[in-house]
Amino acid sequence: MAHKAKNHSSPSSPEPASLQVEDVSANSNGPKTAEILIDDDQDDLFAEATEEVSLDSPEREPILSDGPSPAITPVTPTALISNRIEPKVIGVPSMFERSLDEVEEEAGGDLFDINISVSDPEKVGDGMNAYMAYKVTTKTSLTIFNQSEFSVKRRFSDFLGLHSKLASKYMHIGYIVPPAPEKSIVGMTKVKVGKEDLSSTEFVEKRRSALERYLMRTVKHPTLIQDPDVIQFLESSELPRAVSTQALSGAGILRMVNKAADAVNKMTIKMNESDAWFEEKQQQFENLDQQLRKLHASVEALVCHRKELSVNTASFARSAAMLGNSEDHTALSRALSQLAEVEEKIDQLHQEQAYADFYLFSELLGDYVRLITAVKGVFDQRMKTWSKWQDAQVMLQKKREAEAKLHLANKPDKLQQAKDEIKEEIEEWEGKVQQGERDFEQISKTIRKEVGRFEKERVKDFKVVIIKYLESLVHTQQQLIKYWEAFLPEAKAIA
Amino acid sequence: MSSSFLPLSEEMFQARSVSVDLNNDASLLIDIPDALCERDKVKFTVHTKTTLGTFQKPEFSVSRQHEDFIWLHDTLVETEEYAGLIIPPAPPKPDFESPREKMHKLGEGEASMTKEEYAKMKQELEAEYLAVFKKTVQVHEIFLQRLSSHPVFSKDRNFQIFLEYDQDLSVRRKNAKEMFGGFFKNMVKTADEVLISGTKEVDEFFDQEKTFLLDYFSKIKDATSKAEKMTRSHKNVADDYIHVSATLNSLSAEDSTPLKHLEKLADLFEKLRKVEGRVASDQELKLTELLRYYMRDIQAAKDLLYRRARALADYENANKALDKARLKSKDVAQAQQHQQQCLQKFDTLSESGKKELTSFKGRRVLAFRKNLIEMAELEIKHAKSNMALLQGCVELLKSN
Repeated sequence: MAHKAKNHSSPSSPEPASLQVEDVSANSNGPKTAEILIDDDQDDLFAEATEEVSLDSPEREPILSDGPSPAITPVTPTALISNRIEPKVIGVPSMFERSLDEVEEEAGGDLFDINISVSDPEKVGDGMNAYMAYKVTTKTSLTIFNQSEFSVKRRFSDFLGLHSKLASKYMHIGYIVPPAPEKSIVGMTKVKVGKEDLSSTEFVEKRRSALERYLMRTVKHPTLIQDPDVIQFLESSELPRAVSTQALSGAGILRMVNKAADAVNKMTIKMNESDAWFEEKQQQFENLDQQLRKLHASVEALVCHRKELSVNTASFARSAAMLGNSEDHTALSRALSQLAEVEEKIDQLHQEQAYADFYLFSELLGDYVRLITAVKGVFDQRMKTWSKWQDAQVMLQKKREAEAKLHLANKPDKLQQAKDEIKEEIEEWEGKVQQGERDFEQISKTIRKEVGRFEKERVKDFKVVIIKYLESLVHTQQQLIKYWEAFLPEAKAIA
Repeated sequence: MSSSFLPLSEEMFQARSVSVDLNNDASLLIDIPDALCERDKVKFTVHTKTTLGTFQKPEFSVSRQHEDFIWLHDTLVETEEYAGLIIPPAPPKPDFESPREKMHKLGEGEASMTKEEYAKMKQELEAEYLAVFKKTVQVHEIFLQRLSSHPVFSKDRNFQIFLEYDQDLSVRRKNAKEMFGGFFKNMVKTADEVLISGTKEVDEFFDQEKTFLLDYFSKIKDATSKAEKMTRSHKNVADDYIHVSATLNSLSAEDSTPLKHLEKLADLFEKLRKVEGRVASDQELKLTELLRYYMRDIQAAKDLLYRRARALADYENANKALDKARLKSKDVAQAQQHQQQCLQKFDTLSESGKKELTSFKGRRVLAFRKNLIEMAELEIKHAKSNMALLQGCVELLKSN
């Protein structure tokens, strides 16, 4: 296929191609090297990818665009999926490593100065074909971008498409790719059908907030922020429609990862863990997962009860007002009406607090539960890499044994041909074994780095959000004091 | 809950008085200094201090059960002479159903919690038991104090027996049931509203009172149930803080990475939930209990109106009977006498009823004032504690 003719890509997606070119000139990292490494196996690679994914039972989302029909955008540099292609050039990871350091340097200098906001949800279209478009605004001083401030419009499937690309490129080599927000057929249907009620507004807000957090986590990653797909997502005004997102949703990817994990377990791999660090960390993440889930459940209960409290307070306020009206003693009647007003304000407070409980505390925990699943997935990828290496070793051994047998055999004419063949095969498998070992070492190294980074981020993230949450609680108490102090003289005025 | 003697603390003394103007008269002072909880039965120690000569001793105590209070109330209701008075509402039966149910559920869910979490929930439930207990003591005490501070009831013979008789009252109770059979009480229960609203009211005062009381009763009943729901939600939030705190504790214990602030956060939530728990229980005592009590009191006022309406109906019937007798020229004198009696009864009822209802309003307004002020003050106090706790934690986290 015409993948080498990348720069004159299909008429339906001119921008990405030109962007690609610009990227290449702007920095000397990834994309350029990618250009060199593209080879003909690319098609097979993608065919493989789509096949694998479609084995999952995807949630069908109607595909509406007139966009390009290729399943995955042709712009993605593919070389990073190193172990799927038989690489003709060794050392893609190490080249990549260099670029990582470079970005981190820049990042250190700029304090990773980038901020993304997702805003202005706008309904586009009507009925079941409708969708929500979100405005994605980036403010940054990083030089990998063309401008310092810019916006684009994106829909939910675009986000899923981005995630699927990143996941397919980076997860199997050990990078923790932040998971995309979950799909929700029920929630989205309500919005499409035009139910302008509270629950659909809340749903859109919940999604908007989740998308914003997702992008921020993605761009905070020093490797991911450089990825041309990420840059294109943020900058390019037109994005080729991510068509296979029904299969490649966040949940779909996670399912893929989990399936891989299950497969790994079923293979009864008894991995000789030479590195205690990995064992320890896996156990830690397992515990953390459990505790976070429990905490998340407790906070969800809190949100629920706080909402109930708000509703019951409002109901009491109304009742108190009626009582005040019925009261024939003038001063007491006034005081009861005032009480009703206070309780009404307090009900608002409770509602606001419930929002804070949810958007700050509960969603943080939910995000981390999903992130940890991604972390666990990465550990499983390492095991898969290890097992592939082991398999190669086993194969090599078999070939060597076969060779030895040939040498002992006594059929001179067929022998030479067979010997040559076997020799070729042995060379091939030796190469695979070496590659397998390198891959394993690389992924182990990457994971160590990623986990270190993850833990630092986690601490920062929690601290920032928890402080914000506590400040919301402080605010609620301050307001309570205000309201009751205003009511007190009214109560004292009853005579 | 097994038997336990619960000396009532200073706090409890302050927490009392949903009603006011009680126990002011030094000639007869009544209180319930302690109570015993034996399985389902609560035994109250009723302590009396008096300067009145009608009692045998100046100071004495007896042990009484809830049923004894009900007996006393019923005898008062059945007493014709008291028809023109608002009989203080009977204290409701001690109800430990809610905390007991929660304790049961807690037992079932024990496996899913950490030891600490379970201990804290249990502690919380025991506090709830205690709160129910305190409430029931309060409401029984107020009943007696209403009687002791009333010029007529304080002299009631059965009331004296209740206070003084140092033996078990259960024998007397059984006799009383046989005697009265709860006749009047049952009558009052049926269709009182219909009768009250049905009769034409000539007297302006009673007309207004009738309209007011009927409407007010339904409003206060609604307010009481809404306040109950609100308080329960508050308790649920406080309980959730326990779970959050417990899980944060487990997290910080297991986490080797420097998430030390999780420990502080766990501690914070533990302290917060105590304050929230107090907010809920104070709201219950000052608001919900207040509404609940006056709902019952207004029912008692309505009962008075009912009795008066009955007396009026009796009088009207007597009038009709007199007219009939005059027509037939038979038993006129008898009919006339009966008519006079009914009229007198009705007039006495109206007179004392007016007095009672007026003083009732005064009492009610004062009680509301007192409790609303106290509730507002407590809310402010608790919100300030919460704020101090929260701000302290935020400072700590920011400084790290």
